[in-house]
Amino acid sequence: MAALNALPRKAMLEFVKLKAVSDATDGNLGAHLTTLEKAGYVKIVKDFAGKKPRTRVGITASGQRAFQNHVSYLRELLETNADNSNNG
Amino acid sequence: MNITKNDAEAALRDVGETGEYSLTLFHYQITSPYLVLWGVLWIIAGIVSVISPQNTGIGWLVVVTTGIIANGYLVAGDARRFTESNIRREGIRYVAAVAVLTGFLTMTFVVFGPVSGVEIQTFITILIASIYMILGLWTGKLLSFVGIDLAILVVIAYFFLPAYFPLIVSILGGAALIAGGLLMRKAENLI
Repeated sequence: MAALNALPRKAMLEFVKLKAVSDATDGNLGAHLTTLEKAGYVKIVKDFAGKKPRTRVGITASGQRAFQNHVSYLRELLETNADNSNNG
Repeated sequence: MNITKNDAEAALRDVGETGEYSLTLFHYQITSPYLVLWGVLWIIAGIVSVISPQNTGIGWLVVVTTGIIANGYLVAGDARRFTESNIRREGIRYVAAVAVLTGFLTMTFVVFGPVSGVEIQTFITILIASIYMILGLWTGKLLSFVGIDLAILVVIAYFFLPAYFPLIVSILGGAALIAGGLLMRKAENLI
């Protein structure tokens, strides 16, 4: 999700590139993407580039919202911890 | 499950690094066809310069015009796929950018003229190489390396091997652009 969220709004990343970014195996990444697609967080497009089959993945608006909420939660957690340390 | 401060810090660091890596690969994916296009055109112009030196000027004029049109086609495709902006607005921006660059280069050669064809080509190549090097600082180091390659080639050709200038700058420079574009396509194996 971090890899897809960083891209311009309508952009998609090829599966092979996403695999390199996430350092995951084909099967592992495929399973994650299926789960995220079912949740409506990513869209998967399968087409052909010339004669070669190609799979591209992009984040949806709902996926972006969910991911940003997750990042905000992590930041809040850090800030809360910092406040507690300062008060303590 | 409780998330500790260290877990949160590590997760946010991962988010930043992964995003940067992914964006670099995306930039390479976008840039690759432009480099291959201009590489092919440079080689064509270079072959014309070597085979028929008296037609170098007209050869470059045809090649650059073709390149600007084909480049515009790629820009329109990218705008359609990746931005919310409409094609007409992107088209106006593209034409304006070409006009600014043409005006800048024309004025440069008028002010510093008279200049030879070799000097014009050297200056334009150095300018393009510099733009690649600077853009590469933000979009990914491979583009900077392509810029450095071009700059080295043109400096060697201009100062040390002027007799082989068209061969080195147009043909080897074009090959460097194509190689850079193809490497970007496979960049996930390089980073």
